[in-house]
Amino acid sequence: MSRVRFRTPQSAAASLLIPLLAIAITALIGANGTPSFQDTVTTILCNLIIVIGLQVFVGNSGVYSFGQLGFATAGAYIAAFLTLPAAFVLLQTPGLPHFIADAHLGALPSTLIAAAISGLLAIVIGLPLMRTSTLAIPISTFAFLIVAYNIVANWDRVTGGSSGLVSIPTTTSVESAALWAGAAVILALAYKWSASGYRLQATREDEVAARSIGVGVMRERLIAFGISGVLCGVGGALAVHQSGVLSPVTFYFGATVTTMTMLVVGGARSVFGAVIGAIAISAVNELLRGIENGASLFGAISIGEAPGLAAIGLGLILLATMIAMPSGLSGGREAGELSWLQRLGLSAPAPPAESSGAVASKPAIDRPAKGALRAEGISLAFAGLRVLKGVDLALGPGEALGLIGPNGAGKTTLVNVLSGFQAPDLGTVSLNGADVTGYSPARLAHEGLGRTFQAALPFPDLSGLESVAVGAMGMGVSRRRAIAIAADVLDRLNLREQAILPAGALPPGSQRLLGIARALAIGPSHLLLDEPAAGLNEAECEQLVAILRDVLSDFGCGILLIEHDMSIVMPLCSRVQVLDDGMTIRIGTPQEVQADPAVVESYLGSSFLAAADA
Amino acid sequence: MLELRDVRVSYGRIEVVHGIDLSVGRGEVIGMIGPNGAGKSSILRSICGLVRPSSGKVTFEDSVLTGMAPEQIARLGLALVPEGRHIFKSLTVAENLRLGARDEAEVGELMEQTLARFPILRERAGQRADRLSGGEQQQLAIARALLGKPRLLILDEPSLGLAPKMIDVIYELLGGLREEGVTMLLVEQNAARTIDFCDRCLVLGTGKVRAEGSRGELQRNPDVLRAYLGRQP
Repeated sequence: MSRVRFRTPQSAAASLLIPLLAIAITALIGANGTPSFQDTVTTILCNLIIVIGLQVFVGNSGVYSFGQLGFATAGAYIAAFLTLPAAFVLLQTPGLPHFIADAHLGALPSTLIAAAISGLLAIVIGLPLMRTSTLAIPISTFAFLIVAYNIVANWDRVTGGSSGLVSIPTTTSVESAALWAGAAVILALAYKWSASGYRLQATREDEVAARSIGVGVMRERLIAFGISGVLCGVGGALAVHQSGVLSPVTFYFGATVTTMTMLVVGGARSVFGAVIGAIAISAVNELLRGIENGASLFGAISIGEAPGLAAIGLGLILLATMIAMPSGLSGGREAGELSWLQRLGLSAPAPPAESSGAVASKPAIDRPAKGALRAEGISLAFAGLRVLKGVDLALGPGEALGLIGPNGAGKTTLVNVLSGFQAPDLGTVSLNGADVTGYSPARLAHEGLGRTFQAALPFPDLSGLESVAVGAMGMGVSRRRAIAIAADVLDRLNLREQAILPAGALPPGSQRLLGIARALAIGPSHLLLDEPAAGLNEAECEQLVAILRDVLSDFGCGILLIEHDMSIVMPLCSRVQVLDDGMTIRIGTPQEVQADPAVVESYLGSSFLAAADA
Repeated sequence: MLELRDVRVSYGRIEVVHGIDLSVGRGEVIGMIGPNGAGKSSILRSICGLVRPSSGKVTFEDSVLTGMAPEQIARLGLALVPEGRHIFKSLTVAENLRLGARDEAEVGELMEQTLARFPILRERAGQRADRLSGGEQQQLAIARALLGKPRLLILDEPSLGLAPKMIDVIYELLGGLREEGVTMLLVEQNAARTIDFCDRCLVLGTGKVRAEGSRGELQRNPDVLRAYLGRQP
């Protein structure tokens, strides 16, 4: 039996080798050119490393950062300080501490130290910045860029101020830049395909769903921010050792716009996009700059100087790409995922998941202590409107409890309180005997609380297998084990055929089942399902009941089921709790509840009784 | 009134609707049922201009809809009440309704008519729409569509996520509209209810029309319903 994978080895190899090949070709062309052309190509490769650094954060998190060039600035200055010849230190940076000024390191150690410090700086800066909201991060990172610039531009005795530094040793060659660029590609892909990388991509696809499977959004963003800082630092260090001069504006607005354009034009979601974007835009930029400085084409048509042409041209290219190819030249895909490559037979999509059978006999993740999920006296008001008025609820292990009631009764709000998405004004929630009131959704997921949502909240760009495996990855299990768990859960839910398709391409019913599979992959002790049957027809509802029965018996987890379709609630649930206007009006067996006049009056309606009688 | 001829819809290289014919006459109430992935939503999207059919033709009275922008199609008098309602959450009920109106001159009169039909909305006219319960939001979505004086009302799963009693309320309202001769195209999951409510129903399966017939024809034909219940024909 073959091992289940996210992608075939051929596809993975193509994704890795094609960008490396593009870099190698660029370097080869550069190395055989004139010295000034060599300089140009080296600069392109340095920019490419910075763009890959941007991709690690922006592409995987889906959040734009305008501050990454601040880390390139840091890397560049540190590399310059560590290598500046003694004669120039006194002249340019008299305030530099001696142990740095006297270091006089070589190219490689100075680049490594610059990379490490830039990465550390990114973590330190990221700690507060990543706490800001998804919408605020572009602004707060931009603010960091401005602060970084002002420090560098005004700290005259150390940085040389706005006039910058000159006579830095020029040690970066086309070859060394290409090697670093290759290393950057490998690092970026390794991160993207790691468990941590997948967790971050899940937050990009749907932040709320990602939190529900235990992903700490801030933590994952911070990791990527740090790696991005390392790569940007490397790019900055190499660039300064290429040009030999450095000023505060080297990596400021202009460079930020240029590198961001490269990333967006290439396609931010893939490393391949970062590579082709950087190369393509650089090539066009050089061409336009040539024209800008006045050139004659074919010796016949002579063009005068046209200052600003390069900037205008870049702007137009960015605009055209955004309109015609919103996902960039690469379509946001890695090289091995390109459809024309797959048609050529060079690469194929991963085969359908086939469970190894190794984990099929036991629940995804063992949770030894299984107790009840208990809510006591939960009250909550939104702007004075009391939505929950002292609700109690108890869900034992292996039990299915139905939660029904009219629209607006507070059912979903109660589930939001139980799963940590909403803190109650009053009351406590306990899980397996421990007080968990006020826990974050991610922390509750780690404690064994799984949930789905009224909307399916798929991870549109991830495959079915990836979407479910991320659930297990959120629990911190290894990548390989997460894939095995996902394959197993998909098998149980008859979703194997959906495993290779992007979740966004599946019909709504399958997306909904995938949401249940994703929640099961965390190995929940208690599972909260918010209208799982909405949008399913009768046959699919029957399948759902069968699946949930298996979940009850195989996984042994307690299920809280919000559902309006009594044909789902009645056969599954041993007890049904009825909410109306934020209060429990009845708890009992399905039969008792169905026969209760108050429940019929407020919820089921008289036609339900008529239908039941018929 | 609305005609679909051999409409095919593809997403990328995957064709999900394989040549559908559909016609809705003035005053008719037509239903579409079928399992998930049968192509119901894709057909609605192709009618409303949200996806362009890969081939085939959609016409509405004398206009060819294929290739038109969604807002142009809406201006012709096709109103979609989308699945999941999509009301303007932070606006009030009255503001939501006003935004549905296309004719400023008549808005006062239409508003009055609509509020008379939906008493709960009159009661809550000044409240923010996201404060309404699910059933009230569904009423608001339908009412907003009615303010545009639609010539064809398209409803995508109007009973989704609603309590049984609220579904009765919604269908009572839709029944009232049917009596007044409003033309409707209805997509639902609940086959029995839809067949009972509509003049004619299409049973879809994997992108094709598997059966079509009036209420009586479909009810007399249990094979069709069995096929609809998931077993492949």
